[in-house]
Amino acid sequence: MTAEPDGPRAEVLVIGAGASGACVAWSLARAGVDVLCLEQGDWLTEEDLPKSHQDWAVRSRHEWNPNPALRRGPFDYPVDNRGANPVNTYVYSAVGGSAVGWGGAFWRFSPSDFATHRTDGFGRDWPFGYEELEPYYEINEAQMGMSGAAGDPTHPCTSVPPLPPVSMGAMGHRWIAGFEELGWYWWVQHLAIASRDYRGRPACSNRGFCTAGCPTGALAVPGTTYWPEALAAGARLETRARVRRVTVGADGRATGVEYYDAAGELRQATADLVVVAGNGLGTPRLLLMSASPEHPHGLANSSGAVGRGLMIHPQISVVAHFAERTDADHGPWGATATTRHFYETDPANDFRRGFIITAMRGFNPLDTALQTAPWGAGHHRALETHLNHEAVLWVCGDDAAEERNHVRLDHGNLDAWGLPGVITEYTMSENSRRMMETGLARATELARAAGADSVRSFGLESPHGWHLLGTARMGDDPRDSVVDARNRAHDVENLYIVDGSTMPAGGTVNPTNTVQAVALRAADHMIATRDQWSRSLLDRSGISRRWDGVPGTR
Amino acid sequence: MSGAHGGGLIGAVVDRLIPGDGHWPPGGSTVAVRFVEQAIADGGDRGAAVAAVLQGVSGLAARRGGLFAWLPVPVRDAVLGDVEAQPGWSSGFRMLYELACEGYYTDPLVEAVTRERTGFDAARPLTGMPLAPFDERLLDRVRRLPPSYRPVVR
Ligand SMILES: Cc1cc2nc3c(=O)[nH]c(=O)nc-3n(C[C@H](O)[C@H](O)[C@H](O)COP(=O)(O)OP(=O)(O)OC[C@H]3O[C@@H](n4cnc5c(N)ncnc54)[C@H](O)[C@@H]3O)c2cc1C
Repeated sequence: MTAEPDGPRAEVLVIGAGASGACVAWSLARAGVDVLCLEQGDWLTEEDLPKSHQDWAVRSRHEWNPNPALRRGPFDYPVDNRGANPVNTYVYSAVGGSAVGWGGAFWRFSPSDFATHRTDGFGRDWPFGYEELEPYYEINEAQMGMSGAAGDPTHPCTSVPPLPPVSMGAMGHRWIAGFEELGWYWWVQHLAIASRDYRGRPACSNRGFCTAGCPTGALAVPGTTYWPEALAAGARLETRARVRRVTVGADGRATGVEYYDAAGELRQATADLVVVAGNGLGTPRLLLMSASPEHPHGLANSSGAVGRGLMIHPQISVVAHFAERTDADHGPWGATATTRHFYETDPANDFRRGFIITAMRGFNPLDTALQTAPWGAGHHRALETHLNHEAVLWVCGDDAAEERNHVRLDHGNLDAWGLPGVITEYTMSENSRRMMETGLARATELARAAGADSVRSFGLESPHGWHLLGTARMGDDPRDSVVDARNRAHDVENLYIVDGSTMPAGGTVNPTNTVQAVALRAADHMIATRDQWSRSLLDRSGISRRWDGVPGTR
Repeated sequence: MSGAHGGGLIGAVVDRLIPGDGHWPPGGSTVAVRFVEQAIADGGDRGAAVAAVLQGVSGLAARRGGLFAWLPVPVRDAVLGDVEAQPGWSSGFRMLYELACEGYYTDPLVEAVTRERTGFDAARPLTGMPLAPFDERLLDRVRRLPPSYRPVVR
């Protein structure tokens, strides 16, 4: 089936309206670029958010489940997770992408995260350093409305967050007492949550359980931060638009995309520049689906790196039990405080690189029951022991890209449009295991220092996959990477990839602030080189298109 | 209870999955029953698995002397234990238990007992509550510590 050539035209097509796609559309539209974003999901309404409903805990396990294999939403594609440590992959398909049901933890990477190979012989280096991203972090933190405090000695950033820290509550103070008792470095959590009214968003009302959706809008999501301004600046956003391939012309340049629109019609959209922002799963999927006789192994994949090197951050959760109540029914869940005390490589350890420990809150009654209470006579005894007497310490560490960990197409498992799903393969490295063993020990120490009488843990074997990174990595060498240092595909000069898949190393903290800063930086490059790729500008100036140099005269 | 799994089977099973005591209502008198019925009515893999488990419960109960609901409590628990241990039923049994818990902890009556017994107030995630602003003086000790990040020279 061929696509109708009657589809929309834009200067730039952005695929995916999530955390990174929103940044690019915002940036380009404000620079006067004609940008159209195609998003497979839809706008969310208050009704869609679990926490608008009394049965929010149940909805969070089904129609709002972050794992598409369990959610089976109408806009999802199938994901089958395999390997020795099958990842619980978490992605949403909606305007806002996976950052609609997220926690809002919002750290910057540290300088060493960009140079782990050079400093520690671990993983890959970024082709640029922290200071390159600093101005984009600033823009992003203002745009998302980040709360936090300046002066953290574990990070070089000196700027003052746009908003003061969110409230702690008694549980936060208990964790802080633990950190202080141990004398560790710690810092108040940086969150994309409004601690005060901010740009039309209300201050957080401490309803907690942020991943179950934030009906007040205090939690920053791209649909309330970037998108309104992008649309006001002229960007167009077509939802329920599932892109099935990026099309390439005889000259090797991207010409646009084929996609199924909301009515299920196959259409062709054309553009001068195509930007893929589909997430660490969706982006390799689209590039691999875009295979053609000229690109038999997938688009932009002459290196073979598309889909390879999946990173997820090794993680372990330690649930601390306290004799006292833990106020689990309120307060931003995304955290109270985090320590970077164990962030850098320590020669005394039997692993390289390090981890953070983020101090969070407790579970709701349903999840507590399902995690701890047996059926039968002991049910309520167990529930009363655990519910509102627990709080979580989340350990998250650095992960090196390994070729065996990957994403590939699953032709045996098709989406509603007959397009292949994806298979992820993940096996945890020995380094990660040893790192997490130490993380578990340190978190246990912190729990005890904070007054916990016991801990339980979820173990390591089936890790959380909310940070899906590295599957279309950035690098200087086209033989070993998919995009260059400006996020432009080595193989296709007018194709950019801007989401978390381009990270050559995943850092040690939650990645979204960095994903978005990278996307904003890439957008600036598109704007700066617009006279080289924009047909309308070239036509107007009478200059022929030529990349990477002075435009030639026609 | 009525319907395909009538004779009070669902209510009786949920009563044993989440038994009542002096404080907590038994599962069979809560919304949990409706959750299980609805899942069976919705069909799909989950509905089919749960229905099969309930059929298994009926069958094993019959072999032990009659309707599940009429058996003495220890025998009912033994029947459920046997069903749970059957490889073909164990995942359906887990689904049944999860459904029962989903319904149970959504019931306003149970929410009231939860608040009373554990202090967890189910209204708060829906309404929020004020909390004192963070006192930045708590950061004073850490602020005074020497820088602790690795500078990278390019
Ligand atoms: C439960 C949960 C909690 C999280 N908590 C945090 C946190 O506290 N802090 C943090 O930093 N990060 C967190 N994350 C991760 C964060 O959401 C991601 O890092 C971020 O959303 C990644 O941005 P992205 O642009 O790469 O992808 P996404 O935001 O996922 O956007 C990709 C978009 O592309 C669309 N798309 C994909 N393929 C196609 C196609 N073929 N056609 C059309 N559209 C397509 C998708 O529908 C999606 O909307 C969390 C994630 C989850 C799921």
